[in-house]
Amino acid sequence: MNDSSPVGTPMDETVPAPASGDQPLLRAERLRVVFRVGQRGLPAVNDVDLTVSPGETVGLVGESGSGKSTLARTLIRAYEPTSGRIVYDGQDITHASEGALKPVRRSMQMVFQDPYASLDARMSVRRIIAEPLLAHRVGSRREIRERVAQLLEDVGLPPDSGDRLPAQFSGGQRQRISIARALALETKLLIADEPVSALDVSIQAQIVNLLQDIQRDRGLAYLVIAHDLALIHEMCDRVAVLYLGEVVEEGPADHVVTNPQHPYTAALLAATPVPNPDHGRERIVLHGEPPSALDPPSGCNFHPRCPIARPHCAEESPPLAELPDGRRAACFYPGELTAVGRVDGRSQEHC
Amino acid sequence: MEASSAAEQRVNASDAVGGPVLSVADLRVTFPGRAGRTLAAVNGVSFDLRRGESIGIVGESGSGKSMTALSVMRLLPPTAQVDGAISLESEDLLAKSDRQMRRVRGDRVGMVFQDPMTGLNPVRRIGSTLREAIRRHRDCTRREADDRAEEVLRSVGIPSPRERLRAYPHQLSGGLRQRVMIALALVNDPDLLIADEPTTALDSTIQAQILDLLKEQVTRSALIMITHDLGVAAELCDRIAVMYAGRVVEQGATAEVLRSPRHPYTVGLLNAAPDFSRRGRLTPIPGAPPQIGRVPTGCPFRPRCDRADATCEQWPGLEERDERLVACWYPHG
Repeated sequence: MNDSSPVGTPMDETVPAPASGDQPLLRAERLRVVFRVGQRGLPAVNDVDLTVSPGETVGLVGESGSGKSTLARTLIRAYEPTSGRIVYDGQDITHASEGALKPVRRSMQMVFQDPYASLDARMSVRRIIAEPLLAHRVGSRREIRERVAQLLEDVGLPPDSGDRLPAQFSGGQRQRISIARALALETKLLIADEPVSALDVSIQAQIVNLLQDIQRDRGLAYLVIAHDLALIHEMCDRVAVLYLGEVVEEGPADHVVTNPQHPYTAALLAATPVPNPDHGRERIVLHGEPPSALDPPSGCNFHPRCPIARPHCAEESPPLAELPDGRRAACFYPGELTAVGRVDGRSQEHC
Repeated sequence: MEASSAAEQRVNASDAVGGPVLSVADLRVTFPGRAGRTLAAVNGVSFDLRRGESIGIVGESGSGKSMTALSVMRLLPPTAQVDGAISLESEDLLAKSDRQMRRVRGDRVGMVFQDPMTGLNPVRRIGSTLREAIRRHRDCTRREADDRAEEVLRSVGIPSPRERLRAYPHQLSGGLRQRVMIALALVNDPDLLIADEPTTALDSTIQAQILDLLKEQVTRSALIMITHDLGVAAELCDRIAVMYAGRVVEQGATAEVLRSPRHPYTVGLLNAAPDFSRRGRLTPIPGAPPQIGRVPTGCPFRPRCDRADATCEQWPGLEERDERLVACWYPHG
């Protein structure tokens, strides 16, 4: 940690428990995932702290290579963390065995981006949705049949869908099937990796609304991975912005997305095309591309592309420091670069 | 420059630049279906495009937007029946032989696709691909072609272009590959550039770079941008044509269409997308776009439309009002 940081204070080493007393459902502490590439180590996720509370929706946003999908897959223990800790529902699952993970996986489910690739084309929809129940040996045949019928109804599919094959459904309906499958067990945490980005625009809102209805009815926690800031803003209570495996900004989604403090978040917001000719956003076009995590830059990871970088930024890495409004940003000069311009002399702060 | 006025300024700047580069009139693309039926993929698309102008053809999967682009390039499968008229600088493209069309593609018309790997041969160096594209249409030495290839790579913002000529496609990132594809499309100074979802596979900060690059290019040629993203069209295009189930349902100046959409489908698309201005429930369009062969008669949008009644069983026709084309019996506004 450095002493010359002009803003805020570095976070404590330990993350304090929320004051309200309700424990987070999922907590990652200083999580690191390093992949071996030949003789070298590629840190895909680097010292990430993250919490998801019951009933909360947390977003992970970043570009390809930012580590957002690796982080999510590590949290469900599809990958082994290199260091750090994952606590789920009060249980340390960082290095839990497959056997110990089985009960955990009952309540932690995932929905993937591509509803064409994530459903077995030769299985009936009933079988697809029943698969988690069968894998965990939950219920009799009749109970499973009734459960599937209920799930089809819950996700808005016609009752006769169970006998059909995925190919007979549109993309939006297939994503409903994936969601039904993810809800089959006593799900507490649903991880959705780009849940609508493969769908037609007119269908995306249907799926977003369905996910929100399900959350309201069942009190699920969501971890939503997306590249689309508008979607994150719509769906999430909190968001963590990732760049090259590290969280660069984290806080309430409404603040972070509409009033970013980290220049990378500001650039992401500016780069999001909106169909509004009067949006009045500044154009911030970043030069170059994200560097390779195999060969990260010195100092701040973002400094080679950062429009406001100072020489100092190439030497020291800014800590993820808390700002007065409670969010955290890893920048020596937070809030200096904004994506918000002025139109007609009127502030567009809440455009 | 502020985004709000950029599109309008481009419209004005391009007003007096002569006759259209491209003219598409009542384009229809049909495929033979079962039992002697014909399936219409594109049903009556018309637009003119002048030098310096860009038109966005916006629609969802199956709307016919890509088929429209492929028709202009004459790259449709042989079973497709194309009717209507397509002329490039007053030359009838539909009357050209395959051989004549090969002289048009890559020379007077350049094309950029969504996935740059489909347009680049993985076992050929970038330089070799560019050189071939140049020498197919130009009589020049290898050295001259190399110089031109380097120049065009530099113009699309590729660092150290001379060295990149020796690179294979897999050695470049997705963003750089798409720049190479754009260089390939531009290498012979085309009159018309057709870009089919050129940024859909790219990250948003890279997408912004590519959109800027295309924006610069528009001043020198004309651009057809095929996209599902109204936001992308808003960034880049003077005019947009919104397609649904093979038909244009609304067409006009981009800023005007987005400010006051008239067709219920355009209204629905704008309401369905999260746009930072509000949180809370989105308003989806119910149902799903029809598959080809199952397009309803009359207005194809009527099963999903909250304004539809029995009148909509008749196709309303694309009518012009205040420089806007709208195909609806009960338009907004």
